[in-house]
Amino acid sequence: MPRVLLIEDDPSIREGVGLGLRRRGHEVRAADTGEAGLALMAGFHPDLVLLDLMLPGINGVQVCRRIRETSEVPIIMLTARGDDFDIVVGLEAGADDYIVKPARTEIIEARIKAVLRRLSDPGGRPGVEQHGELTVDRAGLTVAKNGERVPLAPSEIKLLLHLTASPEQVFSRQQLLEYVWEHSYHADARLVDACVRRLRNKIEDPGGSPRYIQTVRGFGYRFGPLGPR
Amino acid sequence: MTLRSASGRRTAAAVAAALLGPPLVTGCGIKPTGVVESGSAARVPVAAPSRAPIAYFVTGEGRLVPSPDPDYADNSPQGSLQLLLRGPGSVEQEVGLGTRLPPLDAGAAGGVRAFFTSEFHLQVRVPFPVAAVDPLGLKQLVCTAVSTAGPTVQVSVRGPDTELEPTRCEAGR
Amino acid sequence: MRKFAPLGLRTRLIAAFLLVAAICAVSTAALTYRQARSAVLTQSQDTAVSTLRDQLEAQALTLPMDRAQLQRVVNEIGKRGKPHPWTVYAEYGTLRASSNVTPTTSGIVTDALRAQVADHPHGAFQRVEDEHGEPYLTIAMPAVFTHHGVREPTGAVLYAVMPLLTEQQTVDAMVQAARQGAIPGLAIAVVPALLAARSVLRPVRDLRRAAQSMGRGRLDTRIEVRGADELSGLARTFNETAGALEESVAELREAEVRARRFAADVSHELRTPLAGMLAVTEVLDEDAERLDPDTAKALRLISAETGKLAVLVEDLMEISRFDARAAELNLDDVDVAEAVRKTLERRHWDDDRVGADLPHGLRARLDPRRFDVVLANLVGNALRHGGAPVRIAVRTESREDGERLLVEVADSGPGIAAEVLPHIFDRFFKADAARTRSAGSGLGLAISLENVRLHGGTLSAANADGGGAVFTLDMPLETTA
Repeated sequence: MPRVLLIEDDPSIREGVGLGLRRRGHEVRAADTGEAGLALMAGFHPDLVLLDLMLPGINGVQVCRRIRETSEVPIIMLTARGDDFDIVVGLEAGADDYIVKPARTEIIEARIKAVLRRLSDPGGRPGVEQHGELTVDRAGLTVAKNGERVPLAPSEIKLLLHLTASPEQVFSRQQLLEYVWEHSYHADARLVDACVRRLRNKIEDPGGSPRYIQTVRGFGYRFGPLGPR
Repeated sequence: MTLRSASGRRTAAAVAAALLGPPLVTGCGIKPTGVVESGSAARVPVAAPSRAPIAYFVTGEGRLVPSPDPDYADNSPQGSLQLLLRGPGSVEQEVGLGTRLPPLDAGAAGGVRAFFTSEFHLQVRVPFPVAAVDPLGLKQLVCTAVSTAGPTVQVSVRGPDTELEPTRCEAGR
Repeated sequence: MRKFAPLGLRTRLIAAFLLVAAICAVSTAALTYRQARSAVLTQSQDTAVSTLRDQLEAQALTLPMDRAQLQRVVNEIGKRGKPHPWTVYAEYGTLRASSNVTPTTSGIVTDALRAQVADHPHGAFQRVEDEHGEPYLTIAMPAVFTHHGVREPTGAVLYAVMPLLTEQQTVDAMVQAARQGAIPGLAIAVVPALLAARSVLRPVRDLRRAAQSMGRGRLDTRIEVRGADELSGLARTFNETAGALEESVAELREAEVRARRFAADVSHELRTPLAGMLAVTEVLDEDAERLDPDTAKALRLISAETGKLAVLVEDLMEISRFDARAAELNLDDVDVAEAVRKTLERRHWDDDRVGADLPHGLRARLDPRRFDVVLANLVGNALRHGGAPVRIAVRTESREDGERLLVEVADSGPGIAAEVLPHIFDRFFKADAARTRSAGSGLGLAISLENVRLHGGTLSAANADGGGAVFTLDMPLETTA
């Protein structure tokens, strides 16, 4: 069972969530501040981080960025619904998904499973694909641009693999939420937008309109088509 | 703004009528009047000495009109009466003055006597019956006598038949 | 700007002023005229009478008078009429003389005048009109002489007949002047009437406008207070009342804001303990089986109620965000049929209980999460309070403000009671008072209504003709943020 690092300042939530996850078999370490959590990262090597947005000291968004500087570990943000703006900021800082507090442990468990799935599942076609300047290794779950390795978060890789599995096919945000994140069809589509934005920042050429991940107005996103250079 | 209510309006109309009515009714223009007395009569100087004998004759309407004769020799009451009893002259007759006394010739007129019985009482004796004399004629006699006797004198006329009550000559006859 | 009201204040004031002006003008003119006329006539009359007297007194008479003398006197005096030329007549016995050639007797001199003078040896006059209606002054002056200190009439009476034409003209001119003076006076009277009306109507108009402005919600409306009369007192009262109203409305608004903020704060604070509690409800549920029945029941109770509490707190947070106008739309383009199907799938309503009539290929721009919440709420209510089968109908309609998306959710239940229908979207309104506990928080329809309103649409409830309740969602096909 995946090891979970829980960074949450409220003691009752820490205890409750920790208890629930432990009952399900996870090894859980909890930190009450961002600094403590970052310190635990090196020693504990969690498989997933549950990160509260509202932290004393350095806030959740900054913690997320700091983790992302050195690691592609899956990060799920814990947030109260009213923090819309921070959800977007957190997603753009590198979080792969978010859970709204209060949440039942089974919901938390489902999110954890969803985020961690596919990561270990190589998907449909093994092997390495070339799309323009991108080299996608579906088995190794790595992406390189012009030969240079691009570090991608789990959600970003899954999104790219899904889109490249059916190039030029349009997927609506709702469909991507279902397929990639295993959310409900009606979940917050900003999750998709934030991930797309992060992905574009990493693989698209600076300036000009996106070549790889294209927006289809009124419909959603698709991979390509890659036009003449 | 009392014109609001109906009764208010009626009151206003009544007031208007009361104020405007009289001036409108009296009318414009010059309206005739009744006879208005205005001041004294004209005092004319008459060419006759004040103590001249005056014979009073009578107009058609029954008013006494004085006819003084300043040249008459006798300015006693007797003289004025004789003047009267001579009857109206031509001038008087032209003017329509007459007498209510029976006509007397000169002789009979001379038979008239007037004498003071007291300071303020004059008796006049005439040669004709006085009982049936016209009251206006009586006035003539009395006023003629008084014209020389003085206005304060009472006159009693006596005829062959009887003597009448003493009377005065009223002013403004 | 000025409306003409036949029975309005302005008309009434003008009528009143005109009436007063007319009454004053007429009565003043009439009284003045009477005095003036009387003065004019008295002047002439007195002059004429004393002139006749003086002239007659200047004549020396020889009694008895003869025709020649009489004529001479009449001629003399006849030349000296004052204030106007006159005709002099003399009567002495049967003699008649006149300063005119003919006639020798005046037809205008009345017998009453003659009689007066005969009975009272004084001067007398009379105003008469001839056959043409012309006014004349007739004067009678008897001649008296003094004898023995006593004044006696000579028997001669002089009559003067003088036309009053000039006086008539003067009087007529006065009437004309009065008439001509009155009309401009009346016209001028309109001016103060209008001024008075304006001085009243302007404040009235200001007051009316201010009242209208306040009625439109501008509670800061105030009137300028001018002058010190009743209207300014009214204006001052209006201002005071408006101020008090503004204050109390501000207080009420503030109280409402505080109440809402409190509700938001409370719900927010409740989340933290709930988050911890909710995370362990499944532990309670699992372990409950291993404990004695009472403890088991207790644990399950706690578990269940914690869940409901969490739902309630979430709903409260939603409503608070709507109230604080902090709710935002996250719009996306969706396939309507797919959205509806996914909603039903997620809650396992994709069996015979719910039937949907969905157009193919219809795309709409809306907030999918909120749309899901609304649809789930309506279908859930339909299944719970109405009865299966529940029918969903989706269609579009063209209207002048754009394309509309219409979604109808109809149940086969008993419908909604008439007294319940107006309150059905109220917060915490429970249709059946006896049923104090229902599955929902009591905020479901209220949240749905706010979600639809956020899109710029409407949500309405009605009873269908064939029985059962039908909820209609009417929103723009393309919601703009």
